[in-house]
Amino acid sequence: MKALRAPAAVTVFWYALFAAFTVFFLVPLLFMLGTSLKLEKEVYDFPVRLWPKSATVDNYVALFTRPNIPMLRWIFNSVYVTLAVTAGVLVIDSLAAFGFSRLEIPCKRWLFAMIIGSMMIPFPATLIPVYGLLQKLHWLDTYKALIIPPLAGPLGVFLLKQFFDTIPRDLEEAALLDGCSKVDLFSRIILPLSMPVMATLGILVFMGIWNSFLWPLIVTNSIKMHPLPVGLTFFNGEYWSERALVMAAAAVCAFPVLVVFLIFQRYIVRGIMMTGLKD
Amino acid sequence: MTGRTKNGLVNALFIAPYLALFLVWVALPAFFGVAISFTKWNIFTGEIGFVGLNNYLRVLSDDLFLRSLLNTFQYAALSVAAGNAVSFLLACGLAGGIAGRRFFQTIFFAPIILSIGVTGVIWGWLYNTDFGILNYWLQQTGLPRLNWLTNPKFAMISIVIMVIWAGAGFNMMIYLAGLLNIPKSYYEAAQLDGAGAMSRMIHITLPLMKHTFAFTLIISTIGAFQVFDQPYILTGGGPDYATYTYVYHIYSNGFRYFRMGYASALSCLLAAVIALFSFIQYKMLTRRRVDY
Repeated sequence: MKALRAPAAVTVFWYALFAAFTVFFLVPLLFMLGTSLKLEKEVYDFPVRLWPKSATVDNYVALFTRPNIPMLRWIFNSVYVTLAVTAGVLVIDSLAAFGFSRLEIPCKRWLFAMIIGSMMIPFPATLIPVYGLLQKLHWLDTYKALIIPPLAGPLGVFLLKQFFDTIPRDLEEAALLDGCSKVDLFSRIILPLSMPVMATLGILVFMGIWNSFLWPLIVTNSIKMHPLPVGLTFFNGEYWSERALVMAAAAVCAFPVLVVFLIFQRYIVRGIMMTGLKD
Repeated sequence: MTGRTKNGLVNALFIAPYLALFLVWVALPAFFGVAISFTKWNIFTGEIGFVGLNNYLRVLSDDLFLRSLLNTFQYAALSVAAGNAVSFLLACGLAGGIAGRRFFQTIFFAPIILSIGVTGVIWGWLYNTDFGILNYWLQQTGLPRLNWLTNPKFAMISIVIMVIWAGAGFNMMIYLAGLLNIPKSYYEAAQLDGAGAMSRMIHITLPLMKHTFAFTLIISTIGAFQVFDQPYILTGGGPDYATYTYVYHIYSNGFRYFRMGYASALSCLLAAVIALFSFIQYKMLTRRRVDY
């Protein structure tokens, strides 16, 4: 399409449209940042400004120093749960994907088909039984409830197996003849060759868990156990009269992922597109 | 035990950890979800009793079931149509060779990575009737203020606008990939034959993008049927149930009133509808396709 020369009016139309959409997409983020840097009383000033008259970081300081705001605890919960799930998924799913891709296992095809089929089950369908199970195990409102059920998602096994299947087998046949064990085959040949897809999966899981909302909302009920996004929503309701403070909390929740996004944009876009998945 | 089976069982150790998790947290719950839908189950006392099809018959006399279903259809129609229109429009601009493509792409895609917790907090304040910047701007241009979230007529539309902000970049990238796949020579040939932009769109772009559209529309529809977080955070399902969606109804019944049996029945109905859509999608994607 590039080669076609468009009439000037058409070009102007596109740039005007894109300028408008740039405003649409940027204003909410600027508004969050701007409000978080306002003094609380300026929030209710007229005219409403996107950017404060004089910026202050007081709200950020207050967020971490005022008593009764469990901001650090929420950050800790989010970091801990996200890292645990990401590490767990990478280890457990790569082992399983290796088995499905390379090893002789009874009923292998049938099991894999079942796992793939489960991707069609919408999340509300298993929500209640899983909740019941967590309740029976007395796992509600614990880290176990936040970490263990998400490890069972089929996405990683599927992604990794697809990738392992594309690695040529000649190499490993030679290695096996040389007496290389299956564990070595996995850890010394397959894994090193799979770092890009492992990175993509890792980033996807990381973002998915960091941002997940409904699941932690249902399985945690004490304020101290909330991860950041759920804590933020609770905070939003509780501190309704302190908008600047709430916006600072939102910014604290948003900026780590925005930075990760800007750095790993290529991997992230590819990963999200590959799976069609977003929490 | 033959050597082969023994070997197979040793190999199975590789998949055992995942398989155990899968059985406990996915396969069995899926099975029990169906079973629970035929019971009345008190999650606190553990009392459980078979009630046959009662939970399914109950939807017929549940006004909120119908209300939530209609709201969900409304949300799906609005968000799928408007969302995909925006995505496609942006993709057309990007594919048309606009300068600064990377810059625009980054900006339009960025909100996708934010948690709905963050998105909801930001938009809740943008939409605020008295102090939100949207109403301030409306006022400056001489337009009346809107009760974005508190007027039952606007609330759903306001949610859809937020959802477009938060998600349009996703389908945009899919459309962009599809558009960039169409050989430029097709357009050049058409232009030599005197085809205008409109007719190039209708006779070249749209037919060649058929499969891409099928994919995005079905994926967005399936997603739209499950909408919950956005109304939960922004409006709490109100005002006057105007944004009370189907999954919200499941959530209320299951986790607010603890009617687990009824909530499971509602879930099973939804799962059946979604499975149907997934099946159609699967058929469409695996059908032999003419590639360009």
